[in-house]
Amino acid sequence: MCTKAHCFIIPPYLLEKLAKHGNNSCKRALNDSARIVERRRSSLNNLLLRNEAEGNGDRFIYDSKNQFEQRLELVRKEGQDAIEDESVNKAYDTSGFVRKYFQETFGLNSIDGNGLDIISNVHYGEAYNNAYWDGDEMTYGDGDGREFTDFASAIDVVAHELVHGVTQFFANLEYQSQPGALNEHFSDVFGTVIKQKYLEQDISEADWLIGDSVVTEEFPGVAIRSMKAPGTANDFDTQPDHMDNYYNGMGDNQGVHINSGIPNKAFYLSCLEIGIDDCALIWFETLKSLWRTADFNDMVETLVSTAQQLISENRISENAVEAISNSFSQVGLTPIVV
Amino acid sequence: MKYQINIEGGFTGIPKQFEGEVKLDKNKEREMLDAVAEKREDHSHLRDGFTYTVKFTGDDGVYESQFGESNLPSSIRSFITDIQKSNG
Ligand SMILES: [Zn+2]
Repeated sequence: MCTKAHCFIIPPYLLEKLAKHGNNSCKRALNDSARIVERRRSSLNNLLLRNEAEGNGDRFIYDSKNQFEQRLELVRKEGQDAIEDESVNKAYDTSGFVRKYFQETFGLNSIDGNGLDIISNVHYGEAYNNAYWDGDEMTYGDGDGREFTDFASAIDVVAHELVHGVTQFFANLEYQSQPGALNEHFSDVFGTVIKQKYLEQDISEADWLIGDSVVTEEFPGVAIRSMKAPGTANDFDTQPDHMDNYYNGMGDNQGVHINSGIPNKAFYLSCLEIGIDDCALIWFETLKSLWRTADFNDMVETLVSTAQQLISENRISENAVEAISNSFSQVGLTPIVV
Repeated sequence: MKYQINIEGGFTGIPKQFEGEVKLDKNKEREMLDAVAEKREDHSHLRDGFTYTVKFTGDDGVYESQFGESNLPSSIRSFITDIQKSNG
């Protein structure tokens, strides 16, 4: 038996081995201890800038006024009426939709399960072609207007960034190589699930694109990524859809936005078999069982065991394990089902 | 001063590269070279942040460093923004 107190004095590599073999208390201790160290470090860094008080999952939208500054001016907070700025209103509405999805679907209180305030910065920087999660809050650029437009206005982008928060609090997947590609994968998975809910689409109507509404007509492509056909969303899209084409380079933190195409494709194929709601539940429960260094094989193994558990509880369709196994086999990750 | 800037990662995952030469007054050039040489701690929970690899070649040698979204010196950030705008 591994209690939390014991786990703190066990070296991380041993905790990782125990977590890998299904010891959830070790997994929790591993993630918690890393999180505590990280939070202490960032708290010291941010002592003069941040108020770390517990929140109620309230939304706060700040306007960066095209400067590279976060929390520059608070322009709308929970319960306040819409203002003239549509980016602000969109960030408010979409982050509320994401919060509501996790609350109503999984009973999750905000992104950490503990009522963390949801803080967004819009109009960040000048011609800034990006959106990011920094461990505490989201930040969105307006885009340069040539290739990209307002990142804060896209439901899938907002969901993607918020789910980086969910992943941080529930699995703390490190941001490099395969664990990093899984981190990106979970953000794309719930980005696409929540986008379909927001647009009231079913899986046959959905385009399975990520970031289609942040690219301009001049951009050489239709979106940033495609879950259905990785590698085809634009002229720069190098995502593989099979382990045979796995990216082994050092760029992009060893391909976190590249190799995520492989599990993304498997998720799409699984949804075709058992539907997006069963898949969302399996993936969410799997995320809660993963750990910092989990790789693709760990992911598939955990998906299968999670699906077996959910089938035994009559919460998902009976052919889920077969569907997941077939889908991952098609991308070169055949699981061993026991 | 010659510059070579690689930007990778980010939500889009689309790398960008800028290369060229600019004429800066001596004080400004010194400020930029010193900014590249100074290493500051990055924020490890950043997700989808850009990674900036910056290489400056001044009269007294080559200065190269890699930065994340949270530790990119503001002088280099505005230099990159100007370069991006002029490449538009
Ligand atoms: Zn991401």
